Amino acid sequence: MKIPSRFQLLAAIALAVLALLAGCRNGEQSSQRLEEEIRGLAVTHSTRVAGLTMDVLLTKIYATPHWILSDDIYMRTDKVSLIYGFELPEKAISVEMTGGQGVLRVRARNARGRISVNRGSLRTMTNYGDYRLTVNEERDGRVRPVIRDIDEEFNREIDRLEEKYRAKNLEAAKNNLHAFFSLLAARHGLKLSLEFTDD
Amino acid sequence: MLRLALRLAALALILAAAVVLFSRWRPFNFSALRETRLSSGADVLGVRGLDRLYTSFTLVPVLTENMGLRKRDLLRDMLPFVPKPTEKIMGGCKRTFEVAFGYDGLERLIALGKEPGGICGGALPPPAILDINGVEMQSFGRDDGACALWDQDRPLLEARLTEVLETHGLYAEIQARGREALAGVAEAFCR
Repeated sequence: MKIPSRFQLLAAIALAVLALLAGCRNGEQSSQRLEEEIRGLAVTHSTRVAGLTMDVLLTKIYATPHWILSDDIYMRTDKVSLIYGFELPEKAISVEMTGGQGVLRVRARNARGRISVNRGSLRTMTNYGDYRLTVNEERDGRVRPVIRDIDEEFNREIDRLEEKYRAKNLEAAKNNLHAFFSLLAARHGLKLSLEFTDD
Repeated sequence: MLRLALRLAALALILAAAVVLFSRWRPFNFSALRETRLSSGADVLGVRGLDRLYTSFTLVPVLTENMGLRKRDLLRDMLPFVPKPTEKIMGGCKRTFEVAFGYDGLERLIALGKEPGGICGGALPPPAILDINGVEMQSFGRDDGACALWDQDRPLLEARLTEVLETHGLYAEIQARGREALAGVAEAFCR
C-alpha cells in the first residue's frame, strides 16, 4: 500500500474540514428555514386560536310584589362579549437545535385578561308599561324611592362575572395554544417548549 | 240603609275571598326573586385535553315564562261588555348555564383532513357543544313551580340552549367564530 504524501494528507484533512463546515451550514440553514416556516404558520394561524371569546347573555329581573297592589315585572337582557387570550409576537417563536433534537420554543404573553368588551342591550320586557325602576333608600332620615341605575347594576354584574371566569377562560386559551403547537411540533419532529409569561 | 250597605260589603268580601281561593289568578302567589346557586359538579372548560379546541364560552339564561292576568286587570276581566285584558308574563324561572363550544378530536380532524369532505377541502363542521353546566336558578313572580324541574335530558337541553342563542342572534356568531378558528388550524396543517 502506497503511503500518501504529506500534501495528500493535508488536502484530505482540508476537504474533511470543509465538508464538516458545509454540513453544519446546511444544518443551520435547514434549521433557519424550518424556524421561518413554523413562525410564518404560527403567527398567521395561531392567533385565531390564541384568544377565547366569552359571550354573556345577562338577564336581570326586577319584581316588585305587593300582596294587594301590584305584581309587576321588568326584565332586561344584555349581550356582552369578553375576549381573553395571549399575544404571540414574532420573536416569541423560535426553533433551536440542541444535541440533534429540534425544540420549538414558544413564549406567549398574557394579554392581561380581557382584551376587549363589546356590549349591547338586546331586549327589555315588562308586564306593566309604566314600571317604576325605583328602590327605597334612606336619605336624611326618611325612606324615599330613588330611581335605580340599571346600567351601573349591569356593569357591576359584568365585572363580577369577568372576575369569576377570567382564570377559566385564560386556561382554555392556554389549552388551545398547547393543542395547536403540540400538533405543529409533532408534525416537524420537534419537541415543544411552551411558556406563558406576564411581561 | 246601613244594614244593606253592610250586607253588600260582606257579600263583596266573600266574593273576593272566593276569587282569591279558587280562581286561576292566585294573586297572593307572587314572590320576589328567589335565587339558588348551583354547582352540578361538571367543570366547563376544566377538562384539559390536547385534542380539544375551545372556540367559545357562553353564559346562557333559559327562561320559563308563566303567563297570566295582572292584579290590575282582574276587575276588568270580570266586567261584562268590556274587552278582556291580554295575559302578560307574570313569573317563571330563569336558569343559567355555562356552555363551552368547540371541537373534540382535533388530531383526527387533521388526519382525515385530506379525505373527501375533510377540513382541508374547506368543509368546516360547526363547533359542537362540548360541555354544559347549570350554575344558577332563580324563580320570580308567580313561578308555579317552574324551577322544580331541572332539564336533565342532554339533547333537549342542547336544543333549548341553541334556540335561546339563536333568538338573541348569537348562535350564528359562535358558529362563524368556531369555523374561523378551525380554518386557521386547517391552513396550518393541510400542506
